Amino acid sequence: MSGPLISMSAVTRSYGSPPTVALRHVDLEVERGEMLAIVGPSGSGKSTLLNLMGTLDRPSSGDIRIAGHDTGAMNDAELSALRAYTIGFVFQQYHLAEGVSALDNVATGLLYTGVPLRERRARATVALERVGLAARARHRPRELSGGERQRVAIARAVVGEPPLILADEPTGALDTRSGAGVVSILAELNAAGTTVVVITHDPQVAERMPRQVAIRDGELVGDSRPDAAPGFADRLVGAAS
Amino acid sequence: MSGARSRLRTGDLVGLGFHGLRARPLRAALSALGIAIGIAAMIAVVGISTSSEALVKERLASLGTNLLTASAGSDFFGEDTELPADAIDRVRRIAGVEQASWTAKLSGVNVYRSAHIDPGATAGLSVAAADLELLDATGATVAAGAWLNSANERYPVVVLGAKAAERLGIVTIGSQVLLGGEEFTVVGILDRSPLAPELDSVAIVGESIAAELLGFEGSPTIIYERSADDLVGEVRELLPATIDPESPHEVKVSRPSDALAAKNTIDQAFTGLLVGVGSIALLVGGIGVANTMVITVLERRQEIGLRRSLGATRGHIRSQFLVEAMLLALYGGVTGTAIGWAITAVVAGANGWLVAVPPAVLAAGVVATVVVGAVAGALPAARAARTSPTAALNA
Repeated sequence: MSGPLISMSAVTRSYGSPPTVALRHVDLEVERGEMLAIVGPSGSGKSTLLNLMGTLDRPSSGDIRIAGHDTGAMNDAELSALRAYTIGFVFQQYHLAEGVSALDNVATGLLYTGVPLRERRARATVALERVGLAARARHRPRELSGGERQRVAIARAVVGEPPLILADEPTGALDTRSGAGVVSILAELNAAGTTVVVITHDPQVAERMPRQVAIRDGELVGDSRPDAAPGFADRLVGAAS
Repeated sequence: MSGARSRLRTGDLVGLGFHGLRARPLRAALSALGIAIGIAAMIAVVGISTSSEALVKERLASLGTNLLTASAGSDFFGEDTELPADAIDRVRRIAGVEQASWTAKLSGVNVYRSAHIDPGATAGLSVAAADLELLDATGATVAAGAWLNSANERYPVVVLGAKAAERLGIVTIGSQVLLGGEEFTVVGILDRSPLAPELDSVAIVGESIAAELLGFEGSPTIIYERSADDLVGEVRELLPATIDPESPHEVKVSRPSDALAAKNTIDQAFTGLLVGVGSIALLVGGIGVANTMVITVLERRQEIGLRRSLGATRGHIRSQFLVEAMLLALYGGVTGTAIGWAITAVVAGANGWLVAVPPAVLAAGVVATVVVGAVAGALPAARAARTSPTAALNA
């Protein structure tokens, strides 16, 4: 396959009537293997942007192509399949199931691909090793620290080895050290070939990404390149927040 | 990935349903309780009536349905009549008649516990003369003591019907009662007689002593007759004219087993009513399940959003909550079926019946709850499927 993994052109998303515009005329391409941060203040539309990339929401106008698929032409079942096999999500609030072990939480990541339970657990064990939590497989979420919970959530996102990871404020509920650990894991996944898109309002997190995209009031206001001058990210984040 | 589809294995779907119930066990138990009560009521009602019906059928089979009873009716002017004294001999000559017997109510004669009883306090009991074949013909049985025989029927001895003994307070054989001013000795007490219930409240004396002391003139009041089963219809036609050739229309013929069967039919109407009440309980239980599922769906919007992000289709979400509602109802249904069966067993045990709950009723009870669960869960499951994943995740 060739071409960008995510391609958004002239994407607008508005809600209600009269319409409130959450995202205005966004053009954005993400190449395979990239790792980027989307930065902006709260209410800037960055979560809307992530939901559209993740096909959890549909644009009011404009086209979104994910891995070559025109999402506007796909029905609910096809979009669900796209999420099941192509996209892994990581959320600020982890969204782990209480009363279920870390291993089974990770295995849930494969539930909707029809993989039998034994194989789901075997692959979940591997995914937990990737995030350094093999020793915690039997623990319940409430027995884990915030950073560990987020690593379980990352393992759940990658257990099906999707080409794309979308992370919405993955460090938002964590202290600096745990947050840095989570970012390191995301960087390792990216080094192994996975495309990673991270939403954040934390400049330190954004700074560690090769590319930053700034958004404000629903519009893209800046897009760095990996070869941008040192310090660009600081100015970008400063301008956005 | 192209061509790959979201798939949820059936086993995993059922697992999700159980998982949802386990997360809130008390709530699941309480909402299943409504269903359980409805089903338990229906199973118990059907079970108890089936068990008692089985008993009635068994009793009818042992008592026989070939007994006919002919009694004196009223004449053209509405006056009570008597059957001719020689009627019994003619009845015995009808082809097919196997046994025949009679009783004659002795008018103006009452039975008392002692001479100190007010003559007006007859306790609703009457006195009758009977011939010795009465027990064979009616199928009545002796609870204590013995029936009259050719040796003692000429003496002042009496056999009491079950109710008569009860109302007179006689429990021991050999007690004395006052009958038409004479002391009579109780030699026997009968069981309740299902086919001839009129015998229950009668004090029965022998034909000879009745003629001697109590003014009996030989005219029977009721004639009991048994014939071969296949000839009952023909005998029934012949009886009135045989008994009283002059005025056959004054003879009333009835078949007591019909009355027992009719009583059972009335029981069934009552059963229908109770089953109706059980259905309403089941309906209310179903509404309880629907209510629980609506709340569950609202509470678990984040879970729904997460599952959608993991690749669940709307159909998967709908199936998950539908299965959960059906399992919840099934939980109530199985519990209720067990409770209903247990109630039946206790009631049947207390009455000495065999427990007879038709397996089809048990199966129907369980299937009904699954259907109730599916109907109750349909709306909440549809709402769950419509939940917007973004709204759920960002809540």
